[in-house]
Amino acid sequence: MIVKACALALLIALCAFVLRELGWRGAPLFCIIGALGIITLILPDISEAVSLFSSLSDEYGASEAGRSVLKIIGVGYLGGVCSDICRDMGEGGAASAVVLVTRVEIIAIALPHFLNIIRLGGELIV
Amino acid sequence: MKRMVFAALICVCAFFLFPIFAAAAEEEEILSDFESVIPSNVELDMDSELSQQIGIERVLAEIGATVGASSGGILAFFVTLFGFAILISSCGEGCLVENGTLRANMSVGASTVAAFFIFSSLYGVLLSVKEALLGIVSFFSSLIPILTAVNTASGAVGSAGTQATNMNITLALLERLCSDALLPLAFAMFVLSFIGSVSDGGVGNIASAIRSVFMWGIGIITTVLAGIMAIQSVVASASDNAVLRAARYAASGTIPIVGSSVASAVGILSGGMAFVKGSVGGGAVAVILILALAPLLNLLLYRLCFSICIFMLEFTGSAGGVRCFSAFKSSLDAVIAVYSMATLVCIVELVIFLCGGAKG
Repeated sequence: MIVKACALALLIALCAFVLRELGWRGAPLFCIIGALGIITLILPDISEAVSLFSSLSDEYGASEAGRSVLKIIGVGYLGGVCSDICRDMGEGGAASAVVLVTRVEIIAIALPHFLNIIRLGGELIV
Repeated sequence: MKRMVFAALICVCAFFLFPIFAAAAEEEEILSDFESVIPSNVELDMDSELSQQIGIERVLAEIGATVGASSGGILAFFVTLFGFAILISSCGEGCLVENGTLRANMSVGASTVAAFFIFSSLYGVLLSVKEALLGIVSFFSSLIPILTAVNTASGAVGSAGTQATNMNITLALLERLCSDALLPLAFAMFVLSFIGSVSDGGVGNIASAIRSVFMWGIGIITTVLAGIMAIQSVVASASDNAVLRAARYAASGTIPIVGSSVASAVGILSGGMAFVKGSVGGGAVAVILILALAPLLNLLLYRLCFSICIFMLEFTGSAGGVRCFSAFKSSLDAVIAVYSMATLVCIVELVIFLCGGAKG
């Protein structure tokens, strides 16, 4: 798979170089689409790892927490990559907005667990 | 006339020897009382050799049984914790997300969820620690009358009074510690340490300051308690020894013909009670050790899980994960310290009981 990814990256870089030399202004967009294509190559492996972790956390009674951590990391990566793409395209405002939304989403996922800690603590004290 | 003198001598002997025979019967009674207060989950046979039952083999067997019984739960905890550590470390230095703030948020979010998992897993452990401490307190409470009876029967009335007072004070302290302080303190430590680990600000310093003050407090209280009890016991023992020696001297000097026999009988009685004292004291220490060992081992195994995961997180350079797991580890240390202190105070009391009293 790494050979495929490298070959695809080299091809995209070559095409983007040629398109830029020809004066086509859509070269960055072409690069971004190509990069997304490269990322899709590793999706089957990622989903396999995620399902493995999910089954492990189910087995050891931490399914909810495991899913939440995976969600946080997934949301973080998605938001991070998206904001990087926006910044590469010169759209700093959109990039900041994506980061903000991602941070809020992460807090929204983590907050119920924090409240659960407080609830458990209350039970422990009373 | 001779007959009258002989009869009078027999009466005097009976007067002095009757308490000795009564005390011999009391020895049996004390041992059976002690056997009746031993908790049902502790197997200790007072009829067979005590030293063999509380030797290193027994301790190793208890450790093996504890590890065997709790290995499944701890292994599951370790595997899940390790999984969380791997996931948290993916938000560390090697993370593909270039935005530092977002990366920090991911790390904090993942640490919060992991903290919930850790806290809910340790919840049961903390409750079992509380139960174990209450078990020790209950056993110690039922032991006080027996220990006082042993001291009184061996003639150490002063020691009996002093030690009973000390034991009651210790018991009250331990009960207060179990019911009011241990779990709230553990929760406060967990929360403060966790917030300190994710906020990277002054809360962490407050948590560590509270922890260090608490640890110092525990050390000072334990030392002061042990010191006061030891001094009181030494003084009371000296006084009891003086009284017993005076009684023996008086018996051998004032009772004609059989006086020395009475004095020897008092010595034999004292030796017999020393045996009972050794059996009860040694047995009580063994029971407390057996009761305390399983939860302590569990806590230590959980601590080991944290240590391994922290090592892994340090290796991958995830500072947030290291801080979060270290916070939980140090809070667990505080719980271990409280638990060990409570057990240690009980054992010190019993050792003072064993060493104190009248030696005849």
